Amino acid sequence: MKLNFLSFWCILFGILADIPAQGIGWNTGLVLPQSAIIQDSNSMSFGTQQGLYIKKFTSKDSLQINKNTDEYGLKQSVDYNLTNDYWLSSQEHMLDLSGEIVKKRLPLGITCGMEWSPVLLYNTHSTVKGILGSFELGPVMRVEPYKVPVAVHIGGAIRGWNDSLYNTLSQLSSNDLQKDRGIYAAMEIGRPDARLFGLPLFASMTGYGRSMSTSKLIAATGSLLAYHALDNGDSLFGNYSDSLLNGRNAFLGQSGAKPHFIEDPSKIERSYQLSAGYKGNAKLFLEPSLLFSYSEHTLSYPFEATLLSDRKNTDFSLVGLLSAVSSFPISYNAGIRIDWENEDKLYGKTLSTIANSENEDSLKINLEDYAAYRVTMTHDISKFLANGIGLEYTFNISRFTRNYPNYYTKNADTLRNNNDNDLIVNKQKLTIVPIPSSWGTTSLYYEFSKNLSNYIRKEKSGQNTIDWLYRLGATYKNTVFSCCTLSEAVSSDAKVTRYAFPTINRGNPPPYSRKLNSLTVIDLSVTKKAALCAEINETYSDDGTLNSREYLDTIKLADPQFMKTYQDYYAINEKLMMHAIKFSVILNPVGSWFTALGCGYLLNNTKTYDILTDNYEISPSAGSRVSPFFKLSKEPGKGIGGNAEITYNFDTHESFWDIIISLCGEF
Amino acid sequence: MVLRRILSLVCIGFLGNLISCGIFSPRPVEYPISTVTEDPFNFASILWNTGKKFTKLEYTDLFDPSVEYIDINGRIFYKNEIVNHLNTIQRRLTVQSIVWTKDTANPDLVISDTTYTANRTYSVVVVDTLQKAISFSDKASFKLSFNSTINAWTVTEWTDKFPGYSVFHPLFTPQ
Repeated sequence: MKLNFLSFWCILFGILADIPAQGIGWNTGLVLPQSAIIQDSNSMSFGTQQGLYIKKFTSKDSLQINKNTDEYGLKQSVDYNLTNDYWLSSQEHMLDLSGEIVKKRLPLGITCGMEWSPVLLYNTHSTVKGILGSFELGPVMRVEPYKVPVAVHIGGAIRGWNDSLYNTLSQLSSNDLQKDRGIYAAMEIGRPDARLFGLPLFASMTGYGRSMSTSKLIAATGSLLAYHALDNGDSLFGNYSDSLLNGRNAFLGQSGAKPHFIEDPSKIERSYQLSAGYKGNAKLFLEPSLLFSYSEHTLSYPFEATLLSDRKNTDFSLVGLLSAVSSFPISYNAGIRIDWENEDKLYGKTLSTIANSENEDSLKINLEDYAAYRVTMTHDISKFLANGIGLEYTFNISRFTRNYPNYYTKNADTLRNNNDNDLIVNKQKLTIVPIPSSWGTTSLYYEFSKNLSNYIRKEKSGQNTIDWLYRLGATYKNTVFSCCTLSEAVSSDAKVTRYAFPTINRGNPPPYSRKLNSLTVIDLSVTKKAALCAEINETYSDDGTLNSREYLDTIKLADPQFMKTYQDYYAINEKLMMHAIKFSVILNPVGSWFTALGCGYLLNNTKTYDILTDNYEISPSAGSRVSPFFKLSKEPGKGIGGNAEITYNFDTHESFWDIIISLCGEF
Repeated sequence: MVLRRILSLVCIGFLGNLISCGIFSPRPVEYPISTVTEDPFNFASILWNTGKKFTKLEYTDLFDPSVEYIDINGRIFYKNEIVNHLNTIQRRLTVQSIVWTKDTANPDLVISDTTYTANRTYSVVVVDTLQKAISFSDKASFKLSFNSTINAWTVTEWTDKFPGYSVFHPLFTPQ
């Protein structure tokens, strides 16, 4: 196992940052894992990806060698990443040469060997350079008592760095480096995709500890998933997952686009989730499911009294799902999810509600504590005939309510957070397929959305708004003359906003915007190995304010002559006309090789209202772009696969390359 | 079988209660006292004539949680420090005039539909408590991104080229 500090960080922070998904659906933690794909025991694989976009070049290259016999195993990987930002005059290099060699079939079924992880980071800026080299080396042992995989890693680590180099790298001497050494130990028990003792129980645990003079930390993750099928076809699931990080990290990073050795403050971070689910067998024609979960995330900085960043987040959620069985003549899916969320900053500290010079900073942060309540409900119903004619209706509604309960007093004033609010979103969509699919793929749709944004307290309720979004669209795709495919998608949007209290917003009329879009695609097969494609995209949009009389300021309202002639109107601040056209020739000369050659043209004709000239002036973002491109791809199959896309954009503002080249293979 | 019946009853009862108790209805709202958003540093004018607009000018919304203020020496300050400083100088100083104009040498950069860099020159005159006028003029660059959650453009990076401490610098101490 490759367990250097870079990869470990990625894994651990991925787990700690795992925020419960807010969607309505079966909890991903309650899904029975599929067995992991067993890698070829003797293989060499490589991958490379090069990209250039505007002034940023990125390169990712990797080589992995696996050699295995009944007696020995060898893994060696080479990973090299480069980011070269010409805009910021900075470069970031990373080279990782981790690997291991093991002897198998030792007594008691033990596999034992050595692992190494040399990593080099080199960052440059126009004026300063930074380098960090680290090397971890130690023995590794694996054993499978009662078919439970256990791995133990232990070893030494050494690190040297300098983030203020003004010389070239060749002039670097050992004395220029700050040094650090220490030890690490790690253990893995179980596999998340393997049953424990043959039972419907999946458990795994990982622990890692490292002691260096600049950074000491321990970290652990674990998960347990249990499953039980009842005789009547129902199933029960339970999951507990936990992760902990205690200590500090130190690494070479960037600060203000310059290399900087960053020593994170010491922290304790824990995240755990307990969830359970019930999946019911079909009853009548419905399949019900019920889930609950509780998660808690805490972060504290025990040795940083001035940091004031401790916090605790909790979320208790309930989910109910209902879906019609596939044999039922109508398709129906519905769900409801309710979350009770809390954020407690500076948790565990008792604060007075009277401010003084010592506690006011803490009290201000404490004002951001909130209790939230989130509920989401969705219904999706559809009916399609065998010939493709049918309709679908989707209804979504959600409410997010937040309360900020804390307050404090200062000089006889009571201070509190006035952001208590309700966000209510209601979306509905009706899609109709009016003709049989044999006539072409066609749909008409109408979408409606109403968003209500309400602050509760008088200090902010003047900003309360209601948005309405209306969208009407149609799509059509059909093959004509057996060699030509024509598709068309048109849509029109209008977004209207109204303030809940117009009189409070006098002189500040609410926004209004419209959009029309059409996309036409024509594919023409010339021969079996050659095709022509044309895409035409037309967009018109505008946005501005809806100047109705209820938003006129009091001076104008007091002018009877003005009011007599005043008509409500839509004041357009910006008009956008976008014309895009793209032609390409697609060739399939041999087997899995594809190539495309073409050119795109984009004209952005944006105009902005200029109050001084009372006219629409060309916007700075307006301009045109001609983009010739070349693409070449080969499907990977069993050998080498790759993809190359090279585009040069001749742009009115600044021309630039957009290049992506990737290659991968396995032998 | 008993378990299924109980769960079915719980589901039906739960959903029935939820729908009948107005869980999707807004709470009563207090009648507003004012809605004027103060913008003493005229940040709104940074986006004038760009086709974009800061729809939220309160510092909590205007500055992205990850915002960085970078001074000429590359020193970085974060949201709490920026907002606290702006609030402090707003309390202690009077902004006599402030003008943000486009930096003609460095045109704005449209990176994507949701990312934009605005390069500006600024000239600001503030009056301290001793009624002394202090002026600052230099260049600043703002990296902006569109936050779809609050439906507004936010500042993600603010680079100030002023040598030393400008009035915006979190270490500038007003008299």
